Amino acid sequence: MRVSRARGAAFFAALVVAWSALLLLVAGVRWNTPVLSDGHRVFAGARFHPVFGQAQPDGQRLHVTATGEDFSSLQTTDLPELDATQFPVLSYRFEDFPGALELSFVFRAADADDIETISVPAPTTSRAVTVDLSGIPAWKGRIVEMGFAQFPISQLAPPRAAFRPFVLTAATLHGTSWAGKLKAMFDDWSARAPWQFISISAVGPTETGDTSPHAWRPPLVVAIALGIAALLAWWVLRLRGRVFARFVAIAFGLAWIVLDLFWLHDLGDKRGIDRDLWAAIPLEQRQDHVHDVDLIEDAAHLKQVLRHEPRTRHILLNSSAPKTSIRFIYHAAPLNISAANALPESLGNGPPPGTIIVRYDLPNAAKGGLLAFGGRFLRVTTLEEGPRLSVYRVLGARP
Amino acid sequence: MTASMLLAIWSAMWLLGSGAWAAVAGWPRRMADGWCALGGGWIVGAAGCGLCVRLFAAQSLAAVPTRVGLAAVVIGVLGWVLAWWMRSPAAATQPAAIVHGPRRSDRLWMALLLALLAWRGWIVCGDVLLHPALPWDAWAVWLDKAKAWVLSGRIDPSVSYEDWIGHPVAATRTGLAWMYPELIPWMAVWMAGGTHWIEPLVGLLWFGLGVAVLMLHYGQWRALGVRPLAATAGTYALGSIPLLDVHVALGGYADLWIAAVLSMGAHAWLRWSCLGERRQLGIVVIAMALLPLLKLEGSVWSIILGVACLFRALPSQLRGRRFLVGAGALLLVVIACVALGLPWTGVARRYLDTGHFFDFGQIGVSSASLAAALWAQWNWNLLWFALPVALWWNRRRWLHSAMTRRLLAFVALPFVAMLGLFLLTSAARYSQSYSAVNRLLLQITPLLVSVLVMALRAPDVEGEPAKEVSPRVG
Repeated sequence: MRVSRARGAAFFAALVVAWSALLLLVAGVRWNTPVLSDGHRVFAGARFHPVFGQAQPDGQRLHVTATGEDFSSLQTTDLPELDATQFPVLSYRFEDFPGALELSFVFRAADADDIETISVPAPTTSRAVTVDLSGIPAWKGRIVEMGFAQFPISQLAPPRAAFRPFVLTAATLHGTSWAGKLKAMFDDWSARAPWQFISISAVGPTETGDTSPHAWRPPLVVAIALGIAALLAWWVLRLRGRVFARFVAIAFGLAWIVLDLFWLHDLGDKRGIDRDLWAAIPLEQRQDHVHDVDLIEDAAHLKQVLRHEPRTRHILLNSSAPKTSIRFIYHAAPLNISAANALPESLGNGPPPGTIIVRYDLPNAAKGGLLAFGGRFLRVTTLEEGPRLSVYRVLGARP
Repeated sequence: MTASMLLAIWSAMWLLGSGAWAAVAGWPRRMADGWCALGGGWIVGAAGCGLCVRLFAAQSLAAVPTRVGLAAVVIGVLGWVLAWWMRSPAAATQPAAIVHGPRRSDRLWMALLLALLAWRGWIVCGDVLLHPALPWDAWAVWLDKAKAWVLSGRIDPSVSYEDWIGHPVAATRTGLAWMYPELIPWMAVWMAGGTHWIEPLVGLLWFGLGVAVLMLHYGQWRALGVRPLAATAGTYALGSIPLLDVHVALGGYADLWIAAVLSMGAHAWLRWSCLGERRQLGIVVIAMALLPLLKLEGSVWSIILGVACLFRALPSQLRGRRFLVGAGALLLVVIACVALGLPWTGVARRYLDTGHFFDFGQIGVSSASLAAALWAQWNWNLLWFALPVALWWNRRRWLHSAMTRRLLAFVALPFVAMLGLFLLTSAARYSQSYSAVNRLLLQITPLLVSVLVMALRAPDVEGEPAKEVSPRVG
């Protein structure tokens, strides 16, 4: 089946128009949005000052050299009372931004009680990253302060190993425009997304608890684009039967590959972050460099305290949170340890004598050889009592 | 652990599995069967080595590399010898598409798709070797037992908290997942063989599984008469499903194992029921045996495979009532499981245990979440768009293919049951959190890709008999 040149040209033109309209729609462009921004405000890096961590101006830039005590850093600057609705597009540039840090944008409105924090894409190069702030409910009124916060990637990065010095080059607030919204959409699609616990159930970012607005995900946009192409092929090119089926199949195949290339790029970014975190560490030690390395240290201390106990000794763990318990138990292997649950009726007086009870990250509950445990008091001997970790051996129930 | 030790562990595993596969499915005469023996063999080999850990080295895990390695080599060699001894002169049914190699024009596309798979493999393998166990259930459920066993040097039985707490000193353990099947922890012990627990090496178990799944499916599709380019495209499509890649890269979960073994059994069932390859029934039996050992839900898939076999094996006078017989058998097995208190029934109760079974009030929210899970996330590339389009567009062709119809029925019935579960019952809350629904869907993803491949199959399926072949049992 031959398609005339005129129909081919019409199909191509219609496809370009329809796909462009789709992209603009997904990017959040409205009929009255100007093509180019009619104004912007540039804030050089040197204008920002450190709130947490250490940083020094370096010409027009800000050289961030160290974190605060909690391994995070924050740089802010005062603003000349900008009208949020006039400048809803933010772009920022960093150099040598560490792969193991997350980035947040913080701002304060004149009439707000507190600062707002939103997660934004961490830069992977020194090019500008653009974010559309118009969907953020708190981005309204007069903005009097803004800044950037950095902290180790949660659930992944060992806090002490995440930071490396980097440079804040500049931040710019733009008026709304097609160009700004499209750039923000593409930067959102190509944003670096480190592994998280939820990754095993859903490939982020909106499924990972990130509540900031995002553009539709590329698979949905590509599928709509495919539907448009198929409709145009039917109406404009008048493809029918096997030719039409072949057109749709090839379009699907190519679109699948394009999406896969996006995904491979994402996988490569994930590996890059992991390489930053673990490549320099010997293979057998990588499991000791995790986000909760303090739990590993405390679990190792517990093993040291109980080193003379038989390996079959049963140990009960009380801790401040279920996740803490599970992680502590994993790190404490091979100790025969379990989270403390409600005792069965047959043990109304408490766990049998000889059982070890560990309290982790909880207030002290032992006094005068008695330990409060599950609504009863137990006679215990103290094996260890520290600010986070306390270890007791059960002697029996209080008479 | 040295590279040679790692190589020895992988070789022993592959030898055991491929030998067992060849002994059961027959000497691989065709390339398609060779790919099945390689991919399916790896899966069976990993499971076999896990079982050998439990059988031969539970009391002294220091002996795992020697005892289990030796057992794997002996079983593997015996399997290959048995396969050679029992080899048949020629395949009974030989789809023409299997005989023909790829066309010259197809080779370029196949090379491109294989290059994309290889690129992914390079990235994922590198990542697996970099990071420790990351996702929640990896360290909370599936690997915590294995780590404790490896570091203590022996496998202690797991008991309930109530039984465990009664004794201050005893060689038993407890935990969140004390009642869960232990095949995956046993396999993790094998992968950690001879080391003091190195998590990136244990994670390679899932990387190997990912590669094996692709090899197995390529082989099964070729054996079912799919042309080389279409089989390669299907393999690429399967390998490029993002959520599947995540399960390979992060490792530590059971869902990909369930997906692999379920698909292994379902394709073997298809070859037995459509092509009359009766030795494939042995693979079905292996899959049915392994599924409950992997995860509690595996029992449900095992029952479904069993009912599918019964469905096809009914004598001709009962064929007219096969749906009734199948449903009756399913009901009887479920009643028996509930009566015996099998652990999977406890999980089912937990899903639905909110005092009432049906919960129509959640339909709107659950439907939106489910739709987002299928069409608005990165998880599946275009699978959930391509599948309905392909089935609708090619309906006349695949409706005439008994093979595709049966495969579709095998997947569609459990899928509809899942939809009902997540939309109409009190389990709807799980569809709104994405934590369960996506992983449950992952368990049937290889079969869904297979439906796509079979539905788009070229019309010249000479290998598929024009008349239905009655499966032979025994």
